[in-house]
Amino acid sequence: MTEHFSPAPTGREVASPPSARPAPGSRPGSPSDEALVCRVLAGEVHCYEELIARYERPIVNFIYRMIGDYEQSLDLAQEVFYKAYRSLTRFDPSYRFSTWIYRIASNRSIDFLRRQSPVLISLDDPGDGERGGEGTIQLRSPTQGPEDLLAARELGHRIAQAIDALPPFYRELILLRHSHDLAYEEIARLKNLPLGTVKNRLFRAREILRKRLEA
Amino acid sequence: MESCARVAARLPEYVADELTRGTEGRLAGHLTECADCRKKASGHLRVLDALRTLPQVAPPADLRSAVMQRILADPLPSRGRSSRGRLRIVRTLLWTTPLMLLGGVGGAGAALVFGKAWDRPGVLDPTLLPDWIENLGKLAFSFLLDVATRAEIPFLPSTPSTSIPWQGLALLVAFALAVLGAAGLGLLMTARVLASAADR
Repeated sequence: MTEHFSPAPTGREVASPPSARPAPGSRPGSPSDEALVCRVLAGEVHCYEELIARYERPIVNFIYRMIGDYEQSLDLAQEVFYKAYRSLTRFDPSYRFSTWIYRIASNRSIDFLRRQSPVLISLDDPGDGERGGEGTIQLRSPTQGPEDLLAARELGHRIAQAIDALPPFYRELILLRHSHDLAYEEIARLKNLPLGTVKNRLFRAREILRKRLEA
Repeated sequence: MESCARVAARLPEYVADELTRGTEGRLAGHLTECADCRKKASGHLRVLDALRTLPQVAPPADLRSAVMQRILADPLPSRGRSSRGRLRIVRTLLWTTPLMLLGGVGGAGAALVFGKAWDRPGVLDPTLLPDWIENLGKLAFSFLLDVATRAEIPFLPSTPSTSIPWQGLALLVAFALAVLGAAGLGLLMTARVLASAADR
């Protein structure tokens, strides 16, 4: 089954390293996510903006890869952050904030996919760069030449299509583990699954991707 | 030597450097001798490299402000001070309640000791409890009957003292006073906590 993949408009490409995982508190002296949550609950609402700043890119990218539509992913990301704020009183500080917000994003994405009916497109559709300049997603690296860039772009396109063709429950695990660098234990807690089940499903998902890339 | 099936199951972790050294060494040894597994390993490595180069998208600059606008229109009620105050109340009650109980028991014990009730074994006899309740009921009934018939409130001490175990009643009153005293102490301390929380 193929699914429509609506790439992001031009100007949305990112030149940063592929890892979408934020580094909360990486700057010396910056508060942890959980400390910011406490301050928000104490009435310092502006602190929530810092949390959004830390997670907006990974959450948007996660939802985008899950549902395949850029504009919808922005709407859903807004809903995720708003819902997370309204539910802050139920946040358990013994858990990581990242686990919690990814769980909300995961649930929203799955709900969205369940409501959508599949749209068939041709696998020959390149999906980017041919809609009046829209949809170009480029990778940039200071060390890559033009041929490397082209090869990387082609590989990125192929892997994006392969991920898009995965069943949602495999796609989600692949994204959380390899695109967002969540630990196996964190994924298990997020999805409320046994650790062994997470590893088994990830293995099967990787096998599917390997066979598709070899095809 | 590891079998191909067992090696194949660990290849994704192998290429991602997620295995222990011992396991990694065994798999590496197998891969030097098995072309099929080597091919699969390079396929998994390719998947891993491709996943690392997955294109990213940048969210628009106004996403953050759009979310904050919605939030500021209807912010959550601040629970800083009141929640800390409520937590202190709970903690205070957790240790004032046993204090009240101990106070009540201690008060009753003190009443017994000072009242030299040990010399009156009948007072502490639990089998007399039904008699106590019955007599108290009779007292209450006769009191109400007097009020109804005389249309005035009679003086309580006029009731014959022999019908009521006054010693037991005194003990009950002392016990109740002790409990009330301990409860009052707990309430005072709770009020102090509330007041100090409000001051901050």
